[in-house]
Amino acid sequence: MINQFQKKILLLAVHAGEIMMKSGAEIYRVEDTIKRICNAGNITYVNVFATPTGIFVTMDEGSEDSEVFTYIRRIKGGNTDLSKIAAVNRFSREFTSTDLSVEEGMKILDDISARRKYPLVLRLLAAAVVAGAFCMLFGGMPQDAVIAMSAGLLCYGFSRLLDKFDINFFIHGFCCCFAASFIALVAQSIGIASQYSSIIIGVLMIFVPGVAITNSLRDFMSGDMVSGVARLAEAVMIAVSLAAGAGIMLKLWDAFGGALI
Amino acid sequence: MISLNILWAVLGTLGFCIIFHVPAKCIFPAAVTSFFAWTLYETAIANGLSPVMATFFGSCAVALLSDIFARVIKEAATVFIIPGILPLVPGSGIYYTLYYFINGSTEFAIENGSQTLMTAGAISVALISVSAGIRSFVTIKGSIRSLPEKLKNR
Repeated sequence: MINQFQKKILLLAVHAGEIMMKSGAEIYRVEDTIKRICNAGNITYVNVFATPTGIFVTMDEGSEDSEVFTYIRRIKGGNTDLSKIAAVNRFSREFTSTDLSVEEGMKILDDISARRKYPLVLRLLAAAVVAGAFCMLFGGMPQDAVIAMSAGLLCYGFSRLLDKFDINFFIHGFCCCFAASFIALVAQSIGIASQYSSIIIGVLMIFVPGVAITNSLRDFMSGDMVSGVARLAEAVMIAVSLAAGAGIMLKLWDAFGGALI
Repeated sequence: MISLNILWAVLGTLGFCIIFHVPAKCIFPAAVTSFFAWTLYETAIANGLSPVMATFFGSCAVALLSDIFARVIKEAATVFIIPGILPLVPGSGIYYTLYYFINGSTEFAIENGSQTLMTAGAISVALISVSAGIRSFVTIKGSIRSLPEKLKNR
């Protein structure tokens, strides 16, 4: 006979963990949250093993005739969303300190999962600001910054579009940088930009794997070696994809002598 | 020129805050973190330190301030670290490494590539050493605080 309550708590905890992992939380935070939620449901024995690509949970109520439950949740994709991490963190604290029912908890989590803190338009503008600011920081002229801003806006929009189609992250970084380099080179050849390098760098900074690097280091620090290595590999692969995108575009441009347009 | 660069770095951080959905009340602290980090970076460069060392000091500032803000505001430290550290990530290094490779000047490419790797390494060492330092500090502080009670119980 399956203990329904135990099962519900398990599903709730894993759901919370999944949201956190997809939003880019550190491993120990995910494991902690799952443990805390399970403990709040009076489940004494909980063991969690979380990696960026899957969460494994085993739990036992501890009584004589209770069964051991094991649950595996495969995690795919995800978008960095720091407000979701903060929200789930707050939720888990609330869930342990008040007597929220599991159904209510599930509803709150669904709300958190569906929420987008800042609308796409705002994020597009932010991407433009990022590209423009880094273009200036890496030695661009004001007119380069304006082009970098429009290129950043276009490329970020393009990357959101690719996300909709579940494109592989390597192709994703590659295409975005390819497009950015193309815009920069065109701007240079028609004479509205002074140098294409700072434009490309400005746009490239939007897609730089800063989140993966930071998280991999924090995972190493808390002893989660498997996740640390996995995220480090992710960061390297993203960097390679960005470099390849820009590089192939530059090479093509060279080969055709700017005769593409 | 120095002050302008700091402005661009802070603007970049603000942009990343929106892109990565940083909660509204954490945006200002994240900007402050980035401001101090980049000020330290620029000061280090102006005093003749290498970019790698400058990045190290900048990242130390990010790690330290993020931890302080995380404790004060009671939010995950990542919320401040990620937007704060991004301006220090060697994006231009990635680009120039490949640029020189494509132009056939392998020597420059290798020089830039190793510089990029060193910079990434500097960020890691800074984050790791600061957070390890804070952890041991908190542990030691905790044990010192509970010392009188332990002595009393004896």
